[in-house]
Amino acid sequence: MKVLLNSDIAYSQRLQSALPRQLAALADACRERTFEITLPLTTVLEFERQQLAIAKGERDALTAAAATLDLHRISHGEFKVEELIKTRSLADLFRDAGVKVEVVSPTIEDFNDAHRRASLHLSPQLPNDKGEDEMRDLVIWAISLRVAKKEGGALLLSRDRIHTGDLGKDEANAANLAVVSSVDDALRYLKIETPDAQLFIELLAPVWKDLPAQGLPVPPEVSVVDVRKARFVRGASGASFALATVHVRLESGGETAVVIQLRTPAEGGHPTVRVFDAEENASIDAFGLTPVDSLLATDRAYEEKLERLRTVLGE
Amino acid sequence: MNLRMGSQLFVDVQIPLLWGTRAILEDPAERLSIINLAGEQAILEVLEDEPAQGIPFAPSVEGFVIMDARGTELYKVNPAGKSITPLSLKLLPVTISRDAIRVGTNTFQGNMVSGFGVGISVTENGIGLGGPIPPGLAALRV
Repeated sequence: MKVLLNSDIAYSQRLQSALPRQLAALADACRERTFEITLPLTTVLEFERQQLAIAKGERDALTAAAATLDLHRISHGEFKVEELIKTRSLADLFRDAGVKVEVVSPTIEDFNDAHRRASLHLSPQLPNDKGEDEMRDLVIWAISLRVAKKEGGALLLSRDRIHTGDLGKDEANAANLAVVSSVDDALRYLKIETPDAQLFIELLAPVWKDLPAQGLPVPPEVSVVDVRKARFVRGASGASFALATVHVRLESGGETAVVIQLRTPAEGGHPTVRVFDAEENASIDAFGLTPVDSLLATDRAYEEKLERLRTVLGE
Repeated sequence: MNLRMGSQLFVDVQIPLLWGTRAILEDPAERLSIINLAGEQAILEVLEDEPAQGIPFAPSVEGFVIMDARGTELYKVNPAGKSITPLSLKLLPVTISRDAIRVGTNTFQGNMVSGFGVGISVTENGIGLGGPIPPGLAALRV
């Protein structure tokens, strides 16, 4: 999955030699899930401009301080402000955090698209006289839609009203582009709103009430905080076996991580759930995926697909 | 078998597109199926753009990821984009569009392959057009 950043999410009033805490958390979440940070070149350049302005201010201050010391004949070591105060690119800061990063330059089609939107006041821009319909925001929008369409979906982090308003929602939905306005929302999205997490929670919900009997004192309502390493085995009609490391909120208010295994019987009926201590085995990899009972079940639609494939194969 | 796939015409070819040990097929309705021929018996992994029964997988934004029994991610399938991208497999990605089959940066367009065991072969070492079936593969049957 590609996670795109608008420049306002990366905005900082300080010179950054490493990612700020929130962006570091985002980088960690992406790295753990092998998601990729996609930085529109516009975002990279805006971050660079901000950082250069801050660096210039600090260099000027340092130069002025040295001049003041010299004025009063106070000795100090020689230094070069450019070497002491350096800027770093946003892409490098993310790379240092161990996450895969791609910088995407706008194409001529992106520029044309943004130009058309700006000129004709098309969505997602808001007609206004406050300078909020800037071309660069529309370029980032065009890049985000392009990446989402190419990848089958993407997540854009932006606080900008152009990106988060209602005008672009239909377009974003059609491209499977999710837009969130904060790193916290992005982390929540990455934890429980990814397709694998959603499918696991969907399968878990019917047996949630069985968890206390398995020694997991959860509240009556489904309270999943995070789903990781979810994997499934398809049965006759959808996933019939599922396994994941799940962080759940306990009735006491605390949280714990467990491995949850779900199995749907071949003949249908109530699924079974088993809970394992995640720490005992350290890793979900300790659990193999066993064949599913429901493979024996008949599934007319599946059989028809198999027959069509056999026809292609000439069997 | 005779099959038109990605503007290539495969005539009397046993495996039109062999990706490592996996046969990749796109039917006339442009649905992908993938069959692993490693071992004694062919194992159907993807059937008409969906994970086959009994195959470990995880849904993703783009489509789904096929795993082995230990949960190792092998490759991901993008049914809309008709692309197969290796994750732990050391192979070039494959995309089948109406006008071409793309393997990495290589494009096969409008070829006719006739009378070969394998039409297009993708291995860890390279790509080939028209060749014999490598030894040790299971028969392509489901």
